[in-house]
Amino acid sequence: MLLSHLSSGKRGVVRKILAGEHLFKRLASMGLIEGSDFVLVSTRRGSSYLLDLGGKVIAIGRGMAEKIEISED
Amino acid sequence: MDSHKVKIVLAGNPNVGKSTLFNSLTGTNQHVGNYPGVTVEKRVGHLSYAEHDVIINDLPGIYSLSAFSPEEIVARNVIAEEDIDVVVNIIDSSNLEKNLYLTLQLLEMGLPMVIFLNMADIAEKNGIKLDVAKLSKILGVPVINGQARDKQGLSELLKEVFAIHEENLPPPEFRYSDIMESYISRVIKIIALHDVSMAKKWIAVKLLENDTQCKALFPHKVWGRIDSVKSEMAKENGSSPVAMVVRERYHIIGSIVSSTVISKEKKKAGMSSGLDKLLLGDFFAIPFFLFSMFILFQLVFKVGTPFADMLESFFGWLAVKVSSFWGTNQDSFLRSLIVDGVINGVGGVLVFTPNIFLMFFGIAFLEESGYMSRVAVIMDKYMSRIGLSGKSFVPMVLGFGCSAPAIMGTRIVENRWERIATIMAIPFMSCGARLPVFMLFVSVFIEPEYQSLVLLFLYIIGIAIGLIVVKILRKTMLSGEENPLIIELPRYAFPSLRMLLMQTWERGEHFIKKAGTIILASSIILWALNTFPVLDESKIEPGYSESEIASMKLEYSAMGRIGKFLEPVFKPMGGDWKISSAFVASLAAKEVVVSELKMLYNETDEENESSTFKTALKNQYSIFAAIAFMLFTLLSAPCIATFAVTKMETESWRWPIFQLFMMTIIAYVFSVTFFQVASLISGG
Repeated sequence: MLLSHLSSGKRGVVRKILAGEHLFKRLASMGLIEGSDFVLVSTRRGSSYLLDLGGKVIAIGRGMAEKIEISED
Repeated sequence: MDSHKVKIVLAGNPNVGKSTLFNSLTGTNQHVGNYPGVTVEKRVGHLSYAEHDVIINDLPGIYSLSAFSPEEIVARNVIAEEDIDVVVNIIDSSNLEKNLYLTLQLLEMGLPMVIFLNMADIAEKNGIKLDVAKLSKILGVPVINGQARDKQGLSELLKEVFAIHEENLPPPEFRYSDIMESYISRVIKIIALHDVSMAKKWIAVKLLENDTQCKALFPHKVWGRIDSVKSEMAKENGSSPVAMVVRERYHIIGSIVSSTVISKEKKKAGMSSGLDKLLLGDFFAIPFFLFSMFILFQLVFKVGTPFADMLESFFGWLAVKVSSFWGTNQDSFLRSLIVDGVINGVGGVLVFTPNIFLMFFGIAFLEESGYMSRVAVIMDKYMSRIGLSGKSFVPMVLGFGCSAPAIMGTRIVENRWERIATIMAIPFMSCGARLPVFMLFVSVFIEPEYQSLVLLFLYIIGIAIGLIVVKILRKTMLSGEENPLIIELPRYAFPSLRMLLMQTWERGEHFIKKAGTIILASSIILWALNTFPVLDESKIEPGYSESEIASMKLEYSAMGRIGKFLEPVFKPMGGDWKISSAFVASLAAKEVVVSELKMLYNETDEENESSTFKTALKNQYSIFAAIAFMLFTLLSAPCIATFAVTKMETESWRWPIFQLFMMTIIAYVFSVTFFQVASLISGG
């Protein structure tokens, strides 16, 4: 499933990043790669997604969340 | 090697306490500027250690050494090109895994390096303990445990920096998997004959990562050969070379973390995520954000204005004091130049200093407390519609007070294109200096019950045009790269006062020094325009009052002539030469429109407007002309302070000049169209 379909409070694992090379590298540099565990802290009504990657929280926009394939934990 | 100058850089992720370390090391002995051509802050400091002069360059916070952002490019270029002796990599102990991604790339650049593990206390609170000795052994570089905030570990850090500087050895290479290493060595062979200043292995890895800046170092035929290695890689491993490099790095990081992180208890949800549930929650986020903007606005303008008034009285006192060196009846050009030109001109801008310092203080608080990143998240949804990110909202709000500090406040916007677009929009947010001009025309021409409505409309028109301008610019000249929201939300923290004051001073000092020079020059020019050529008073027939003579002098001066020359230009909006002089003079500051008109209409009352002045205005201009003048004041060329600050912040003449012409053309079109259409409809 896509990250944008996960509801807040749930845990998940990143399966595949469908974004282009540029965003792939950018997400990787911030610690979000295929295989990362996370907790979806909040979805802010679907406008931005707050991910706790284990001690580090990052926020990404809806467009990005639609490009990240995850599986629910 | 110069033994008395040692150059070190501080490199690290954002929010790991890098600036704190920099401040702790250098104290007030530092300088903030911009890197040429880019809007990235350059912070350099000095310190003395064992009779050596140590130059410390605090690189911008970065997550990797790719070429995504101006910050990353700057960091790379500094490390590669500026003869750096030692790299100090600062790492957040509680988050080793995420920080090592940058560390590995820094190691690969091949410069002597020392690692400073910061914030051990937070790590400990989170149940994390690091085996420092082992980490140092694996990475092959000294690792210091410390606390930048309490100045713990600083002397050990400097000791290691010098020890490693003496040795001057690059850190040992870490190895990727055998397959990966084989691809890397093939790329190294391809580029072997080319002379590059950076470590070959680093470049080879970057080429596999498809790094545009590294590619540009080589001719096209090299690209082709590298591409064939890459396509082989993709075929043999079923995944893109970029993904492979990333995976390999995280694999190495994983093994480092598993052998150096000693204990990791299950940690509870921290205070930060609790606060985020509230401050970023559906119900509370917007009200709290608006409240914090309100506080910031109050801080900058309500708290700042009494101090600004004090400065204004000081400059007034200074002007009187300096004038008194010349006798009462002597009219001296030197006196006029110093008092009317320099003191009034430069003083008129320096009175903003309290507001600017308070703004930097407020912004430093928002940044250091961790709330600024949340602002970016909250406003992103709205700002992304015009092609900006959430952070641009903060300086735009400040623009309602004064454009100059607001434009300096755009430093919080990382993306260069977004930042320039924000700078272009800010002067459309009607600033405090335009209010006296609006008040004058509104009080003369508009019925009391409609006055505030007209004012409100003016503000809304400014906002709307500013946003439209941004949208158009982001689609055309400033399209740049799309910048989707990806931002780290650092832990909330209560910033230390010392830290806030230092940041405020660093940025504020820059304003005083640099804006001062441009403003000094332009004040002198405006003064000269208002003064020369001089009307010979002996030729004036007696019987005129002093204010009438002042008005004649002004009419005779270059400014008056420019006004007359431009009269046909302002006619289509119902103006005459007096209005056009007032608009030209208002380049000095928007509120000058009022004082210039007073002088031209022989208004003697400095404080209030007498009814004769108001009647004169009312008889001279129509209500439509008055509204057109207000539109022109709202939308036209920014004042000199704004021009100077735009030049300073964009590091080029192109943008302030563009801003001047763009705004003036927009203003002219709007005012003329309004006047013509309104006159036509009303049958005038």
